[in-house]
Amino acid sequence: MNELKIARILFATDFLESSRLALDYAVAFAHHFKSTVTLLHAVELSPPAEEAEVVTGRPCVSRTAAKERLDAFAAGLRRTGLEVKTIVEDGTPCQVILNVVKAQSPGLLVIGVHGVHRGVGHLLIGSNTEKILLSVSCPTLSVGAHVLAGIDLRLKLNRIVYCSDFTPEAAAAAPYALLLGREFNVPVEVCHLAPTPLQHDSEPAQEQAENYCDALRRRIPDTAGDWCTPAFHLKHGFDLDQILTRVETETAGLIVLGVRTQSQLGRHLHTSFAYQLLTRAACPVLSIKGGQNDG
Amino acid sequence: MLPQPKVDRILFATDFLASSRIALDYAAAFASHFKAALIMLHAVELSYPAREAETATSRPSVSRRLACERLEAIANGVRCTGLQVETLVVDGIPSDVILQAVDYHAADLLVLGVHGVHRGLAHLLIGSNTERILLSANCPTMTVGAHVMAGVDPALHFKEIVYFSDFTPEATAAAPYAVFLGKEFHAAIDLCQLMPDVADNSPQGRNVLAENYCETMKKLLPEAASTWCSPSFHLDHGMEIDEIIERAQGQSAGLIVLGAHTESQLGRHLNTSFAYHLLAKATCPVISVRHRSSATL
Repeated sequence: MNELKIARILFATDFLESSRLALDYAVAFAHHFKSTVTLLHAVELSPPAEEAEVVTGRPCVSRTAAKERLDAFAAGLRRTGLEVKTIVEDGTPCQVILNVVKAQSPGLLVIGVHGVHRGVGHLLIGSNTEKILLSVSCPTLSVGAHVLAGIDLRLKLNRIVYCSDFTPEAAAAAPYALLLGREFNVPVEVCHLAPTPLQHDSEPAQEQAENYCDALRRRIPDTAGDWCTPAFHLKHGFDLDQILTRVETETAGLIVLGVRTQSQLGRHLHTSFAYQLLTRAACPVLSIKGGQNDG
Repeated sequence: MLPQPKVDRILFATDFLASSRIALDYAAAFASHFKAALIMLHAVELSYPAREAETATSRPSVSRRLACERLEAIANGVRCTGLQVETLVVDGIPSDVILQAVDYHAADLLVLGVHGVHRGLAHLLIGSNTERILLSANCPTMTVGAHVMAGVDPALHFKEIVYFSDFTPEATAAAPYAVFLGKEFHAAIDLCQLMPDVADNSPQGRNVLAENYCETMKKLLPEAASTWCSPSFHLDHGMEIDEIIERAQGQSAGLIVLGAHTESQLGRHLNTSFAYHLLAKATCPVISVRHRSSATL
């Protein structure tokens, strides 16, 4: 993997406000990578509504409304010269997204993520987002409620922050971070998430850092040497608040994060670092599941 | 009679938060429909040290620079669609900056995103700020709340425009505007009346209220009022706040036009009031038209 190619971008939307911003990012990425875009919305009909559709042979109001909104998006995108497809599918958003990712194997999934305040009625919060991030086989760009509008269509990122807890699993995200940095010609900054037990114990931390960098070098032998220097990272163990502040003050354009499926951390994402980062970050977060870049 | 409403200059005020992104879609769609010029405004509130540093170094601070970049990025996106766009980054408290800009640029329509109260005090356009703007702006104000969904039809094919009023003569200022928009967008107008407390249990109070209301309506809209304004209709169809909110959350309303009172107790405490609930909960944009004493002449 020496060049980043994203042939197809899947944009899943529930039409809430954060997904409007997410669309701006999907469009900017699509222009940069010359990707085609598929716009996806899941409708969850009540059994009576489903029955009514069968009986009358006509789509119900919420299906028609969803189609109209999706078409409005598509028309806007086509005006900017992109190739766009729209899909309205029945089912729970999470299941629909996973199915479509499986069927179309896009290079990138883009979603908007709302804060928890939106309540359980909404589609892409909490456990759904969690499940999507941990189950999809492609990198996922999530745009949270604290990301600001006004992004450049040419996607001028100032820097990319790559967060890692230094486990070999998290290293899966590293090549992606590096290739993105190269693609957008911006520096990639490595933030080490120091696991709490290791924070005051330098020896295991040193060992872990070295293992980590070994894993990195194996993946990208030609370039890893330039930026993977354990000493620096160990001195700069970050906690969540520090990372969020850093992202804001350094105006990072993107956070790249490796998520682990196996760990306890991954299973309880909503209380975890990853989920907090998604919902609180001032820039989008690109999460990459451990192991998916193999082969 | 009022002069015919016009929309030649639209002021879009943004704090760059997510709800203002959808507000932008509406601002652009309106500008395109009315062939109006679009003015984009962002207020920067610099701390005293930041301002001093700007003076000392004669270089813009980071937040000013970032704000300018974001606003330019938004403007360029809209310019691609062929609209004429001007950008303004102005120092000051957002509500002051916005109100001054409305007057200075003689805006015909102000467009704002409004966040739910959950966003906390640090954010710019919630609660008291929105309130102040709505109560003081010298032009109709379109607010796009947190429940308005993305995927705005750029051609603005509204199925229906809902006009809410509470029966007071002051609220009638919004009626001609609702009629104007209905004609522009070839949309049906549904009239919803909020039953005021005073009239609830007093048939006589209701009658006086309805008669006053109709008198004002007839003055404002001689042609339309004759078909709309039959007191008995309104009295039978007075709605409670909850019903109206429910109505506003339905699928069919594309736009709500609301008469806001500046003088009433209700207006002064807008954040606990009907209007504020409506702004925060509606699934479509709300255009508030302020009653001006000159307007009734």
